[in-house]
Amino acid sequence: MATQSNIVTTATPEEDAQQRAAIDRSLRVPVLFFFVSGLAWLFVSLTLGLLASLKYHSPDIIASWQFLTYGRLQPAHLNAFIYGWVFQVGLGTALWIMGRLCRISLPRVATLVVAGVLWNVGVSVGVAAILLGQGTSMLFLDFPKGVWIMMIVAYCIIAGYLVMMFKARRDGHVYISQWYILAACFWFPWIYLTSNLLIHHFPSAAVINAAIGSWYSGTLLMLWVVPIGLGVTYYLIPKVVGRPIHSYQLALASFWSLALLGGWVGVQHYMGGPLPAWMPAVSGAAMIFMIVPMVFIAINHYRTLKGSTELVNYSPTLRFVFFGAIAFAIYILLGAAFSLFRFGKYFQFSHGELGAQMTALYGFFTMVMFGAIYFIMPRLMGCEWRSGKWIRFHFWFSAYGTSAMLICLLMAGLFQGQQALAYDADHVLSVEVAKGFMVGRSLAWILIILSNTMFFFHVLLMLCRLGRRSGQATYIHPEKAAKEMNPAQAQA
Amino acid sequence: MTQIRSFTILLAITFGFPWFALILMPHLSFKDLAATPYSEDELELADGSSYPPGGAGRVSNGHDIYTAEGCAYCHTQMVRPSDQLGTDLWRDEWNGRGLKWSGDEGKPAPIRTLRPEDYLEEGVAHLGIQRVGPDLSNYGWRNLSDAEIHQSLYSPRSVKVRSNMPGYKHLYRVQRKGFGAESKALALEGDFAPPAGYEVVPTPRADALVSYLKSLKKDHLVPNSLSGKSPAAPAAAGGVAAPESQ
Repeated sequence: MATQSNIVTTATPEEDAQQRAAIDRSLRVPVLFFFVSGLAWLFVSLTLGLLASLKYHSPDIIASWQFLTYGRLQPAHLNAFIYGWVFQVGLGTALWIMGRLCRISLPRVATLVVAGVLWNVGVSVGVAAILLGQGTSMLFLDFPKGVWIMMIVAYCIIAGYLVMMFKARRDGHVYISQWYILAACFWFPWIYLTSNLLIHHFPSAAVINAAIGSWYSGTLLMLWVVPIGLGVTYYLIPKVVGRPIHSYQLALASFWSLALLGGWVGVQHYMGGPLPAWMPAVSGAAMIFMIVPMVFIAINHYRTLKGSTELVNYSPTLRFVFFGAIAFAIYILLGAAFSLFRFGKYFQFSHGELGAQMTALYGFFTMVMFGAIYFIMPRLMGCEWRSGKWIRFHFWFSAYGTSAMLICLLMAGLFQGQQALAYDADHVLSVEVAKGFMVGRSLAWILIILSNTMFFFHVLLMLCRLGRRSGQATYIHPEKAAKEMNPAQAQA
Repeated sequence: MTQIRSFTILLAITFGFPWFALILMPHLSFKDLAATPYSEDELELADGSSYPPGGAGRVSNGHDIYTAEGCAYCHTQMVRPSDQLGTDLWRDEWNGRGLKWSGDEGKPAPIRTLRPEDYLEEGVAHLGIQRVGPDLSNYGWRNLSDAEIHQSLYSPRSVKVRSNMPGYKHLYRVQRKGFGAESKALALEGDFAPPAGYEVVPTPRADALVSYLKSLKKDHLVPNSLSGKSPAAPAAAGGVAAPESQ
């Protein structure tokens, strides 16, 4: 990790800039395709999530439509969120970062876009099937049997592009972001194929199938969402700050400890269940040890940022990424805490578990990806974001909305779990103590939807090239841009 | 190029190990899990001829509907056993026959923990994603009539005012009275009743779901051959060959 900025080159700055512009041009169509379809799915998912949240505390609204019962809305919301938004925005960003770090322009993007369309067809079929009553009731694996084929083919094509880009790289140096992205390319097909084949086509005992399902939902977060999110974080923080990552050794150590531990997590969801007792125990232990890579990563990010913390104030990218990095640490700590009997007994099966998952999916991943979109879009479209005020609006509504949602879920989980364990108390009390927080969650969803509506509008303007014509082309170094621009309209 | 090769090999090793040990090994070793027949002296206390007794076709259709409606997003089928983790076993409605059921000498039967065999009939065990509603592991022991279960599925708040369960109205048909099947019509009153002259009858899907729910009994007698007790032990202990003790 000599440096994360593109200065390891023998070319002149002009050639360098031209090369980057060529890379951006070649990647524009696929990256924008993934961003836009991802954002569309985010909107679908947020709407479904709001409906599900409303139904929790007011079960009689829109009660006559069978495809809008809570048991179908909640999985449709979560799966649309993961496969529609998280995957697409993650892949789009990964493609762009890979292109920049490998200094490769893609000659043929048609196949990539076709794969993207196939992926979207898969997600649409899956989400529609869940709403029509074909779901499987396994967390994050709710798409009916068969849809996985479409998803895996599309994914492998896209991942194939990423691997080819890496193999053809012109820059000899390998950056930590590339490790994370490549590893995620490799892990996801393995866990997805394993889970789908073993559960749907070569089933074992029913409880083992359930354990595989919970392993999938754990590893999906730990071996796809986390590595892609971290890969992007490791790219963006040094870029915006204009300094290389503090310690390459620490980054490598955290990468390999994540790789060692990541495959074990997930089954702790069923601790105390009718499984061989070592399975949830090992998963829980891995989740607790995950604190080690998290601390390495936090130290690394902190040391990289140190001295430039004022940039968090005016760089939209850094601000979102900063929020995401903190949420990542919180996610790991929550996951570790819930794996301990002491806390797990209150949080198992409660809203708290969903809260921890949403910390990873929204607080960490989604916020980091917003940062990435703020960084990438101007470079792809050749114009700058319209208004710093709108970005501030997006950030603060997202930050408050996300924090409120997570706090509501965690508090609801704590109260719910405590009440459920209270000896001789009616079980329905555990629903009622959580109700207030669930109303809070619905309000938080509304904040999040508001903030993202503003963001959609902003992205739409950028797509129509109605951004600010600042005369600064996409290839200008962000750190220079940040210094030259007035803080309210900071770009990087 | 060697860099990416050694990278891939290292990844394959670090991930392959948990994949093999945590997923593949249990998967293979539990693949042939099957029902165990009871021995002669266990038969009179048991519910069937083997453990688990096995469900009918309609039960497995009901399992599919339970799956499709996402019931597992709010209901668990996993009663937590230990004091360390926090126990749910004291809840009379969750623990099966539990303390209410006595062996042949009037002693309370010990409550046992769940075993993998208890879920043998199901494709995927719905151990549960969240627990909003009550646990359903032993729903069948609540001795509710079909009509009562249908009513709580169609209109949960007509049975339990404080419930936040959705009503599964699409599993029922509102029809004009006098088309037969009145015997199965739901006894709804007040605000929950259909318009005058109409009645609510369950569809076959609702019947299948109810069959499945009534089949949920996870405290069947565990054969001594599985629980590791010698066949003579129960007789010596006073004849209560009750479910395996903890």
